[in-house]
Parts: sequence; structure tokens; C-alpha cells
Amino acid sequence: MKGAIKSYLKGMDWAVASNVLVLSFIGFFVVFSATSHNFDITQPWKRQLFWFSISLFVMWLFSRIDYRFWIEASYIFYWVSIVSLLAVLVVGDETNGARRWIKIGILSYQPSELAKLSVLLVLARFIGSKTVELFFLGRLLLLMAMLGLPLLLILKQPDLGSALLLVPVSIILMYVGGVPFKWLTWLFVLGLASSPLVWHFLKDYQKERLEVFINPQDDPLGAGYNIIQSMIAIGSGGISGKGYMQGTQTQLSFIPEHHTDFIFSVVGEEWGFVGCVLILGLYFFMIQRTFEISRKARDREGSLLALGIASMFAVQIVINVGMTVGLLPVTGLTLPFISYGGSSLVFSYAAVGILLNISYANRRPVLVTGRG
Amino acid sequence: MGFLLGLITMAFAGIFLKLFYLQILNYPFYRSLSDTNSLRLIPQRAPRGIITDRNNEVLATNRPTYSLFLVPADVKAYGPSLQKLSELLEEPLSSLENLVESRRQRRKFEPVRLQSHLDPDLIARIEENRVHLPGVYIQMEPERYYPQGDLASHVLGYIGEINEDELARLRDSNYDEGDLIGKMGVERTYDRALKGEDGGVEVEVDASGIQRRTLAYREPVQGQTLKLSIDWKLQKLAEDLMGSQVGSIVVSNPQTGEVLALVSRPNFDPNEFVSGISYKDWNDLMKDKLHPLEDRAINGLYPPGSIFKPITALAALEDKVIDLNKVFLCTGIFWYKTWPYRCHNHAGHGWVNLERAIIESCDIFFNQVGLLVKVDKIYRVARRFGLGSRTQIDLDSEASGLVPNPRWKESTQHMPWFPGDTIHLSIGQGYLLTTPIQMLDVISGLAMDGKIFKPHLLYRILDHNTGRTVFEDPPDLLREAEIVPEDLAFLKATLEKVVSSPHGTGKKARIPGVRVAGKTGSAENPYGDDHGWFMAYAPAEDPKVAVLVMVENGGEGGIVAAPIAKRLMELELGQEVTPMEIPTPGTTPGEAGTPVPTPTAAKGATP
Repeated sequence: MKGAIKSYLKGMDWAVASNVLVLSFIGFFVVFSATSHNFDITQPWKRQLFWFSISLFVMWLFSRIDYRFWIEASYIFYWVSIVSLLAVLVVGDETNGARRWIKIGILSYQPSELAKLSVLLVLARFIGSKTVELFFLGRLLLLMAMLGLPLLLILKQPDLGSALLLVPVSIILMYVGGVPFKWLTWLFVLGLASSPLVWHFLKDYQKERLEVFINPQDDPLGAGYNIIQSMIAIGSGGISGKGYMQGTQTQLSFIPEHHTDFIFSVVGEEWGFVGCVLILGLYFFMIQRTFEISRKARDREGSLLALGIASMFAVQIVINVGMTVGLLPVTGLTLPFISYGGSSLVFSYAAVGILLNISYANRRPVLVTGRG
Repeated sequence: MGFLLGLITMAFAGIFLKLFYLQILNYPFYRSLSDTNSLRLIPQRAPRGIITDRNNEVLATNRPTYSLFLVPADVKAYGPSLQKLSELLEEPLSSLENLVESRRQRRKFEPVRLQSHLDPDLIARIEENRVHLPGVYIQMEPERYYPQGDLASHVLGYIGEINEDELARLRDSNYDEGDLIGKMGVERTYDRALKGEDGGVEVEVDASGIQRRTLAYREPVQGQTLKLSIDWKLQKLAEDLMGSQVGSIVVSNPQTGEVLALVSRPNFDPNEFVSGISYKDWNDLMKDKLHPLEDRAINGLYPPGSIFKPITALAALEDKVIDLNKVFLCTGIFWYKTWPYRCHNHAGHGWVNLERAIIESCDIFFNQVGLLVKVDKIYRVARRFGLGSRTQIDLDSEASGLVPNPRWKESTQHMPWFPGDTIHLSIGQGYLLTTPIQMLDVISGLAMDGKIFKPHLLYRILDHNTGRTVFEDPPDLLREAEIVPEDLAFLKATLEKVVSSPHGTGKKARIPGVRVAGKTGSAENPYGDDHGWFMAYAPAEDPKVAVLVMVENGGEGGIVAAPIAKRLMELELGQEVTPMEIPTPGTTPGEAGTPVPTPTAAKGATP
């Protein structure tokens, strides 16, 4: 038993695992600071701790399950997530005019999180299986339909952030998987042409967000307000920050949703340039390691899956941080491992678990017993 | 893959450069924005939704008031400004200092409301001293106002500042410290609809905490309009008829469960709570032995007395222990072994059958029925009508009452069930406890052949701006009490005779040209004179209104309660309302009620 644990720990990709643990650790402190002025001073970080312990278990579990199993079962997950995306539109809890959550007892669950992961799995399988001839147009159209269905359902909620996340990740996987550049260009043109249609789909507040992004001074108390306040918070942090729990912008509740979407503003204000660069560095290192795992993966599916996970994290981080520093529009994506939120944390750790298993498989082929 | 990693590196580099731009190159600029020329969010309270009766008569609205606010971060503690403020407000300096000190760490940029209802004189003096008072400002805000004073106070309830328990309970909702929240009545039940959305202004203040310019404004959104099923005219009449008597009245439409009037006396003026009730007033309310805040209609537990007899009658008929021809002799006193039970008619009714026993409310007939019928039968019939359960009216803290049975008595009193207990129960005394609204459900159930609709006060929720209905509460058939049709037909005919017969106890509820059915009750209780009860519905052929009147220690129901019910039914049915002298307590002494021994005998055991 002891030996098994030892060999398990030895086989672990410590670079990735310790990286996310450090990020989560930092996340607690930031969430605590961001919510400490609230009336119930203990609750959010306590819940975050609860979700973190669940996430740790999930990560361990997923690292022990051969990733081939997820690849094999990818279609099942895909349809489960489609069904739950449909369900959330019917029975979901409405907040701010969007239906994103399903309440099960005291727990809420966000189906778009499951959808992200299952789309990654389906893509890895579809593109990764060598028999598939991607140059064949029919195949490509099937792939488009497979992607389009969850995408439309997510847009319908509407959860613009998750939808925006899926598009570049899919394009990256298709590109790496060998879809000719010509086809991707056509897709891009097609996407551009259909953007007025997407615009039509968007809720008013989302259109407002995009418009305000172009000129934030237009609506300083509404959507532009978030960006301005976030920039003031980050800018006023300076090199070393105002100090932990000392962020006036944060403690003033000027920054809305500062423990979820805008958590990076809290980091910027209280921990300064140094803190921001440290966290960005940790993220970058993790992504770079994940690319490494992808490169060394035992098979094509594993390689694509790792790459998909890496690009998902990368895109999510860039979109979220880009939003808080005023480079990108407000979309409502969380910062992985740091933002407050159960579903997001659990699914992020599940993805890390899968990564760890892929990296295992490269190092210790003995542990892997073929198809799951 | 190298290409991809390159792309990601470029994106990260972009963020890095932007951070460098914000935090290093433009640090002084953003720092000054966050420090010196600070931005302040001044919340503006949303007006609460308006509450009207079913005919748009306004029961609760808002009126403007001037309030004084203080931003702790902008006040220099112990400086001359607090001294000045304490002089102006005539408040001790130490309490202001404590307040500022307590907000040094937490929420120091959020304004604290110091005083509401500023009089113009004080406003002028504060404005004169503006320069000496950084961080202090006056703002007009909407305040709850109940134009009808104490009318329907138990329906409307009152509001107050949210407390810790409520905040913990509503953690995930749109509630925050300092918010006002409904504490009772429909203000509480429908608080979410009434609340609205607070707005705010973003202002720039200079180094001395004085507001320089407004940067942005978000308009508060008024809460939704609540349209109650209450009929203001009927409510007013009910309140007037009740006078200064203690008790309650509930009027409803038995076909829908809509509550048309609900009175509980003594009552209170919800306006007193709006800007925080004073310690003394609160103490007076709490110490009042009559508990004005308690809603007797839904929370008062009473023995129903004779208005319970229809249920005993149904149980006995269903159990087939008597039939309609069965007679018992009432001599005014009935001896069970060595215990005497007296009829309220001391001379005795003579030989009576079930019909006469109901019309003239003979206790001794029902006492003897109680010796024949199984207690569980009475229990089950009472439960069918919802006694012992909440009626689920849309008000908080409703009592569920108690229908006793042998199992209950053994487990709570550790005593066996004695035949005497059934003798008491059969005439609505003993352990039995009901609320007025439950008895309204009983009479509505009889009126509607067993159908009992959930009583409710909400008629509609309207959007404040468009006036469109956004929510409608449809009639909710809550129970269907099973009753043998012949038994029901007999009972309903007999309840009509209670009012129409020359010997009927309810003849004071007679309305010419309208078939009224009802039952009187005078419930023995340990606190003094009998509670006077009357329950009725009309017109008997197609019931449109059900009434329940209960006067605490008012004496005989037929004398104190029936005349009130009559006038309410007259108004609701579009008849001319008979004038009435408003009674004062003590003028109608009730006659002695049922079991003879001391009032405590109602709880005593008679083996």
C-alpha cells in the first residue's frame, strides 16, 4: 500500500500539480479579502474550502482513471451535457436574466462547465482517430454540427463567456489535428459573416457590454463602470500593491463581482504589479508544461486532449485577465483556480486530473492497462 | 504547436505590457483617482411597491423624507466636524464618535443614515454649516406610509431594518445590511416583489470629503404593486363594527378563498415602525397584555365552543350512533356519573332531536352524543375540514391548533382518554384549540359542499410602470372534505334554520330576502366571560360570502358576533347595511356556558 502511494506520488507531474495548488492557495486569500467586508464574513471562503477539498478528490480520482476511458465514453458525456444544457433552459435558476444554474438540493451546478469538458473530449476523439478523413467536407460539416449544437444552447442561456471559450479552442484543435488551413479560413469568413446573427442572439446587456468596451466612458455607472473601476483598482496598486485586505477599491465594493469575474482586480490592487506578474507566471508555466505533456503523450487522442485543456485554460485566463485590465470586453468568465465558484473549480481540477493521467501514461506505461 | 505557444506567449505579453502601463507608468494617476479625488457610491433607496385593495384603494404607499447621512471615511474623528454635528443634531458626541470608530475598518466608504424626518429648520442649519461638515450630506428618500393608519394593520404588517438572522437566511438574494424588510403581514410575505431595486449616484469628493460633482446615476426601480383581495369598504366596516372589542373577523369568498376582510383587535399603527420604532413604544407594545402585534385571526388559539357542533353532528351521523329522529331529554343539567354538565339554557330544552339541538344549540344533547360517538370519528371529521393544520394563508406565523385524540393525550399528558374528554370535545371545549381562520375554513367547506380553497390575501401583482399583471394567484382547492350528501343537505338546511327559526340562536343575523346559514358559539374559557363566536355564509343557495366573527370574552355569540356578521354580509351582498350601535366591552355579559364546575373544568379530567 505504502509502496503504491509512493510510486503514485513519484509518477505525478509535480510541476502541474503543485502549480495549481499554489494558485488555489493564493485564491483563498484573495477571495477572503474580496468578501471580508461583506456581512457574513466567513461564508464564501468557507464554501470555497469545501469545494476545494472536493476538487482535490476529483483530481486524484481523475488522475487514477485511464484517460482513454474518457475518450471512449466521450459521446455519452457529450449527450449528457446536451441534455443538461436543455434542462437548464427549462428548469434553471435565473439570475441577471440568464439561466445557467441547475439547483440540486443545496448545490447548484452549471451545465456549461460539463459541456466545455465534454466538447474537448469529443473533439479529441473525433479529430484524433486516424480513420477520420478530415479533408472530406461531409466530415467537417458533421464536426461543425457537433460543435454548433452545444454552442447554440450555451448562447441561448446566455453564457457568452463559455461560448467564446469554445470557439478558439475548437479552432486550435482542428488546426493541430490537420484540418487544412484553407478550410479554417473559410470557417473564419463564415463565422464573420454570421456574426450579425449572433449579435441578434445576444441579450441587451451583452450588446451593451460590447459597445461599452469600445467606449467605456459612455456608461460609467453601467457596464463601463466595471472596466473603469477595475482599471483604477489595478493601476492604483502600483508595484507592490496596497497590501493584503487594504484595497480601497475592493473594500469599497466599487468593483462588482470582485470575488468571481473581477478577482484579478483585487490581486492587482492589493498585491500590485509583482503579484500580478507572479500569478501570470504561474499560469504561463502551467500552460507550457501542459504543452509538454501533449507533446509527449502516448497517442494522438491524449495529445489532442492535453492540448485542448491547455488552450482552454490559456484562453480563459487571457480573456478574464484581459477584461480586468481593459484589453477585452466584459464576458463573464472566471479566472481558473482563483475565482470563487464551485462548478468552475471542480471542473478545472477534473481537467488537471486528466492531464496528470496523460502525463502518467507517458512515463509509466506499466500502470496503463490498455483501453479503459 | 510551437506556433500556438507563441500566440499564447504574445497574449500574455500583451497583458504584461498593459499591467506595466497601468501599474507602473500610470500609477500616480490611478492612485490619485483611488485616493484623493475619491469616487463615492451614494446608494438611493428604491420606493417600495404600493399596496392596494382589490378596488385600487391605496393601503400602503411612500412619501418623501429628508435624511441625514454620514460617510465614516470622510469624517475626521474627534475633529470639530463631529462636535458641530452633535450640536446640530443634539446627540451626544460620544455616540457619533463610536459610530465613526466602528466603521473605521469595515465599510467605511458606505454612508450611514443618521437621522430621518429632518425638519426644514435643521436642514437649513446643516446647509449653513456645510463647509464644517465634510462627509455629511442630506438626501431625500422615499419612506413607507400607510395612509389608512391602523386599518388592516395585521394584513399589511410592518417593515423594519433587516436583522442578522434575516440576512443569513437571504444570503443569496438581493439583500444587504441596512435594507428595510417586511417583518409581518403581506409586507413580509411579498417582500421580494415589493422591494424594488436600489439605485445610486457616483460622486467625486475632494480631499475634505465634500461632494464635487456627480459622475453617474442609476435610477432606483420601484417595487411591484401588490393588489390584495381585501375590500377596503368591507374592511373598514368590519373595523368599525368591532369597535374597541378584542377579537377578530375574517370575511372571504368561499368560492375562491379570497380574503375580503381580516381584522384582529387590538391593532397597531404600522407607521410607527417605518423609521425605527422608539424603545419606549416598542416596550409598550411588548408589555401590552393584549399583544396588539399578534394576529388573532391566524395565530389566536381558542376553544370554538358550539360552532364545533356541526362537526360532531357529522361524525355522529356518519358513525350511525344517532339518526335524525333520535331524541334526548335536556333538563338544563346532565349528570354523567357524579359530574354535572349544564346547558346554557338553564331551564332545559325538553326533548330535543339533532335539528333542534343545532338550532337552539343544546349542549346536553351533544354531551350525550359524545358518550355514543367514537372520539376518533370526531377527530377524523375535524381533520377533514383542516382543523389541526395550518390553512396556508399567505401570512407568516400561522398557528396550527389542536384536535385532541386519545393517542395525543397519552403521549403528551400521560393520562388515558376519559369519556368526559369526549363530552367536552363534542361541544367544542376541552383540549380542542382552533384559530378563527380555521373556523372560517370549516364554514366555507360546509358552504361549498366540502370544497375548501386556500385562503389568500394576494389578488394580483402588477408591474409598477406598465400596470400590467405579472402574477395572479388562482384559486387553490386545498381540501375536499368527504361528507355523506344526505348528512350535508340536512346540516345546511339546519344551519339556515339557526338564523331563520324563531328559536334560532343566530336570528340576529337574519337579512330579509337573503337565505343566511350560520352557527353561534359561546366558548367557555379560563380567562373570563365566554368567547362569542359566529360563523355564517350567504346566500345559502349559492354562497358568495363566508364570515367568521370572534369576540374575546364578549359573551354569547348570537348576541355579540351575529349582528356584526349580518352587517358584513349585507354590505358584501349589496344590501343596505342596518345601522348598529358600536358595542363596548362589558355591555353584553354572557350567560354561563357549558360544563358547570369552574372554568378549569374545561381542561379537567372526568373519568
